[in-house]
Amino acid sequence: MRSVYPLFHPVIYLPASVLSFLSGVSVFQVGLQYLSGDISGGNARCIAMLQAFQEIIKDYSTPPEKTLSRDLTAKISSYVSFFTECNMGNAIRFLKNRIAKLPLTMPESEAKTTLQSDIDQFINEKIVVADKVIVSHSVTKIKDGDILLTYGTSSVVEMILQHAYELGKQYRVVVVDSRPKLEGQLLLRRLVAKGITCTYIHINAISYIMHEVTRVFLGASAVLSNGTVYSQVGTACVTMVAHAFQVPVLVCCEAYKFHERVHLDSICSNELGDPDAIANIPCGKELSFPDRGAKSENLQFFNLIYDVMPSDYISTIITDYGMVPPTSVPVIVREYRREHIWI
Amino acid sequence: MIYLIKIYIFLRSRQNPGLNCREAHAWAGYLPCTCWVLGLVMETCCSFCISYSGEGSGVVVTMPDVQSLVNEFILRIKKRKVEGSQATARQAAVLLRSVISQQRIGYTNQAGTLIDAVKAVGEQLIAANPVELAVGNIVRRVLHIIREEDLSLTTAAMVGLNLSAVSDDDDDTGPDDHPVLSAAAVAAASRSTLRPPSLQTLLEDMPDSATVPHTSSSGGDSEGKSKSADKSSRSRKLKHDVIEAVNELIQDIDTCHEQIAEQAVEHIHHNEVILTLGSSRTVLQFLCAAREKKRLFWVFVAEGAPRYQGHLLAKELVARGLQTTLITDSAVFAMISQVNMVIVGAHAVMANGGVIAPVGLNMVALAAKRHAVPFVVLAGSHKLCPLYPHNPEVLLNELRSPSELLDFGEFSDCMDFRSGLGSPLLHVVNPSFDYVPPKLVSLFITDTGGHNPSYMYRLIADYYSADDLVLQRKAVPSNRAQDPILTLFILQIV
Repeated sequence: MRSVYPLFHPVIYLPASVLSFLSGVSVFQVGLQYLSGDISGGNARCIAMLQAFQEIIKDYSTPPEKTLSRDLTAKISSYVSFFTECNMGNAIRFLKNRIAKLPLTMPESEAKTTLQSDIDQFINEKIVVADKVIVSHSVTKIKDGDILLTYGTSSVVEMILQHAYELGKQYRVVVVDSRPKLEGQLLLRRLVAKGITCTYIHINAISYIMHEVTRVFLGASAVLSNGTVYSQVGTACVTMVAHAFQVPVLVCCEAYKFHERVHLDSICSNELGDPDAIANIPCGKELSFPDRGAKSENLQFFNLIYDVMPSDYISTIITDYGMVPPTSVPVIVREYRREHIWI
Repeated sequence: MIYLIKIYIFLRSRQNPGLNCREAHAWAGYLPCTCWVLGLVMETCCSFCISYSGEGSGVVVTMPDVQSLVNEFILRIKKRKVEGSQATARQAAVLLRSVISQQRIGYTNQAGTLIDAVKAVGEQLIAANPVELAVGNIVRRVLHIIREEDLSLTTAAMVGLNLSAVSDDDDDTGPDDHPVLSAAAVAAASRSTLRPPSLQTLLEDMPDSATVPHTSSSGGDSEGKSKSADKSSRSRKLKHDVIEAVNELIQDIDTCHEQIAEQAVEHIHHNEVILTLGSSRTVLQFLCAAREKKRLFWVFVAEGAPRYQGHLLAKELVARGLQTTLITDSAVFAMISQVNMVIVGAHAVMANGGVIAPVGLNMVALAAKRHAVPFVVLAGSHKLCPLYPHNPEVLLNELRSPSELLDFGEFSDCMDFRSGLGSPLLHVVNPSFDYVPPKLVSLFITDTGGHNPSYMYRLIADYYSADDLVLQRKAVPSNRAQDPILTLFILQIV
């Protein structure tokens, strides 16, 4: 069991092709931003990655005796391996699909502009407009006097809460936070600045507060074909306790995050974060390990990034295709693939 | 003497404003002729004083130096300077032992006096921190000890009475005859014992043993003359027995960790993965005992924010050579599928088998139930509380400072009161405890062995008496003591 866990690599392995390619600098930058946590959140990471690809395409020139589609696909694949630590499967597949669909007779400059506009269209349709549709669906689920619970930070959930507040609904928010990222504090600041009444707790106190909660709104990083939702670590605990107290859980997720993979538990494929983030306790406490250099080999730190929550804990998934139960996810994945062919 | 009577009348008149000085002086004139009345008056005066002040605080009953100890302990409990149920329980037991040893008891109704004294102190201790259930447990244990020792002494005395009856009748009847016990002696002996009602006593229409007979004079004098020699030795013996039993209780509290750790080998096997949250000394000793028996296993420790006690436990385990992995509390659901057993400590165990545990353990218990992982709770017998929980998340919980979650300095800009009603926009909730219902617990391991949650109510009968569950003493109506005396004086006047 012990050998299954991948080790955390603090240094990124750079393929040689990236180093030799000048415009790989932007990709490298984005990759660094991912790892350092400057860009957080699935949508932001996806948009940053696609914009990096746009730059690559802009600076790309076809080498002689090679077709644009094949060569560009190969280049993109090399970057994809760079990005495999992130869940960008659908976006990358979309891009490769577009490149493969380019007619061979198309001149290079036109091909490049087409690709760039396609990426823009993807970002607009699948992320920006999709978010608006999700917000309009979700706001119908919030009524006056509700106490909503959310975990960590999710851009969609934040938009929902702000839109509902603008519509004048009277509700309270419970922000649940956990270590080591403590992302909930950022969301808390923004909500309080807007004027929404918030309660802040740590994830351990979930059972205490769940009596009062009427709805749980969560974001997702990916939704898998068996209905399980891949999200920040700790989301599964939140949904489990909500289920025990019969509180409905609504997951808000754009359709491009749907995946055809299936997972049963969180250990199959996951990311590991920096172990020092766990070892370092927030200042003010004297419990941190003083002898860091002489760390015992018996002690390990495990900093999981993602979590898988089973589908029976989820009441409904709100997507830009509408509000669907978790059992409809493979249907949407299928329709989504077909849509690529038609566009 | 007249002076004393005047004081007595003065005290009575405060109670009964109908009395006036003219009547008092009239009564004082009868004194030289009525010495036996004076004797009765003195005795009832004392009992009246005790019961009068007993209604109020009950503090007068204890000796002054013990009272200072009690006050000091109460202050420490209130300021939360005593941490942990084991330390609190031990200090409470030691304190009650001092109270008992310094309590002066008369010849009659000794058990009742001791019980009153312990209840008086116990009420104050419980009021100091109602959430620290171990204090109430120890108070009730001591009360149970007093009742049990009294019962055993009485049965021994009754056996002794049999023999003494035999020796009295020896010259009259032959040794083959059955010893005849006078019915009055038997009734007197059983009346002075605080025994739970049995069918026999109910049939014989014995007085209810729940009410402690507060007037020592009513029935005691007639019995006292018949068994005076027995009584003096009995009084010494009761105190001695009770103090011995309380010493045993203190020793049990001290050694509960070792007794629980002895059972570790049965439950932890090779190549197992154990999960725990936060830090508990019982769990630490449990795991180390298994390690000493050369079992090889891994431990996942969830850090238990915001107190981060899990880091302390992880350090201790690593120091003793155990493979430990520290995870965040949010990763518990992710990791529990890889775990063989969850072992945790408890703050208190309620009578229905529910557990008051450090915050976050309800989440762990639900995850363990989902994945069919056994959830084992280690608890010493001093943590077993005879009360049933009602709304325990609120009533048996303590909220700690929000600064453990949010730094006040960083979030000072969010502290404005901006909503329309003038209420704060930002609330922070930081509870200390969690309630785990009995259906989520697989096994309790106590110093008496392993038990099912559904069995815990039965253990209560071993340690506690039903009469002690409610510790508030009933207010003694003081009119009862006075009316016979009033009628007596009126008869004198007439």
